[in-house]
Amino acid sequence: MARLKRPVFLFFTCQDHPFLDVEQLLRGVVEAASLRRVYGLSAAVGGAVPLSEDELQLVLSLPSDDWVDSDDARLEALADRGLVLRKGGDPVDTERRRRDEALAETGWNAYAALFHFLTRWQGVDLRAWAPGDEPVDELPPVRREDLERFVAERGAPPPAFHPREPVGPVTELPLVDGDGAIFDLLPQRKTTRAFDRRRALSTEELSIVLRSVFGVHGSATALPGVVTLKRTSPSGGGLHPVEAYLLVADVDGLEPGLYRYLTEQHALELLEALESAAAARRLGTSFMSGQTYFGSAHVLVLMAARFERNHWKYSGHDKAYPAILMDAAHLSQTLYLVAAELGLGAFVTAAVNTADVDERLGLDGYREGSLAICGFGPPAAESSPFDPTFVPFVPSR
Amino acid sequence: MAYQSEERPSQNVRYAITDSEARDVLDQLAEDGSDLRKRLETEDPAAVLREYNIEITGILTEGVVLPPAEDIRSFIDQYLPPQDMSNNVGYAILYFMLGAMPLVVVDPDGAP
Repeated sequence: MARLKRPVFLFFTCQDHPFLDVEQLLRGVVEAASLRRVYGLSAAVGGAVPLSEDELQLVLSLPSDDWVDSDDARLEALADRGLVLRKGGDPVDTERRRRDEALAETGWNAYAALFHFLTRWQGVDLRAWAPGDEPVDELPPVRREDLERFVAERGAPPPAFHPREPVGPVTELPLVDGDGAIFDLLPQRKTTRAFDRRRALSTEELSIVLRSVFGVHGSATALPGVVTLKRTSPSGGGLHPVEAYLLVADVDGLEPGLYRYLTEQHALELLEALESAAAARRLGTSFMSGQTYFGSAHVLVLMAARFERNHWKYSGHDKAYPAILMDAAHLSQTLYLVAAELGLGAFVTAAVNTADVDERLGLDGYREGSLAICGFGPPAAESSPFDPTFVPFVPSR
Repeated sequence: MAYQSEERPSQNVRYAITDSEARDVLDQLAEDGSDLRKRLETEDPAAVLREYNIEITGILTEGVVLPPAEDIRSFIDQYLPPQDMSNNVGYAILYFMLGAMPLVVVDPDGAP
């Protein structure tokens, strides 16, 4: 007899796929039929699990707020696939129960949890699909004919400038440039895809970037223990849930490895030493799904959100998760600007194997989990073949 | 072999197969002399299909004659995306979709 219940964070969807009509197949006829399948989307499993309509009814027959005893082998089979939670000592069952409970305890909005945990990547590496029979270390650039095929496949993109039919008078604005350091700096903001391996990042440069971007510059205590922080970027509710973990490849005075930035002390805590800068770059490239042009950076910042801090205020809130993503985006833009001011290159990417990052950092993914990766370091003298060549643009009149 | 989206599988067939299982079934049916083809034609097809999470009831299951393997291959080519993306088109699509880079191409002289 097993004790079972339905996960709280379980959704269902229905999709159609082309398949063969099996009845006709057995009569020697190839006939296409749409295969309609129901999937259970489980945040605790982190994937879509197909199930039959009978199985759907079985899952729905279970409560999600209480355990029930059952000796139904079909329900046990559903528990094996993660669509039903099962009490017991099996480590997989225990982990699934822990995840479903953690989602509820930490105030996850149901739709945000569905999106976040079903869009995490693990082990994605673009290099695996590179042309040729041999594995590649560096991503080969795409040729013009490849882009032409891509466009042929997809059609032309929507125009860069939104075409609209005027519906009212148009007021031209004065073309004036701002005067001051920030206006000189803004045009220098750019994504760097080639870093200078001949020189290390100095500890001072690292410190300035971290203090300027992720450091705390003020705090306000509303009640004992209820503290709002001030950084140089905005954050939903002033909560600043985004933490900075560093993957250091080449910084003077720091051994390669994974570090945690301790905001309160403005200090770095070594989590895991790595054998060399090359090992750090390999790890970083694998975190970034094989994007080798970013893997050459001196330092990566693995941005991870303390979801539970944001959810303390915004428990179950529809906009909590978008606000967290915006927090990370603001921080990356500030990092770009600070790097530009220091003459460093910078980038940000969301094409990240976040499940791998969480695992390596020991994050549970529910209370705290990774979102995106920024990187910075001295840029190479020559630009990357992946860099676009921009020509100046002046608004047309 | 017209495909109409409004067609639905027979009510006598119930499917609980995953994408990879479905693809595996089709690939085996598209291969002359495959184990699945042999077993469907010589054993109880209901029992064989059940192993792939396809349940059939009330369907003729004796004297099964499968369509030629090449017809199944044509079906796969027509309706299912290629699994092997190790070609330039597939790579380009994945490259642009997966990575964080802008749309940049390199001409044969190596200049972006």
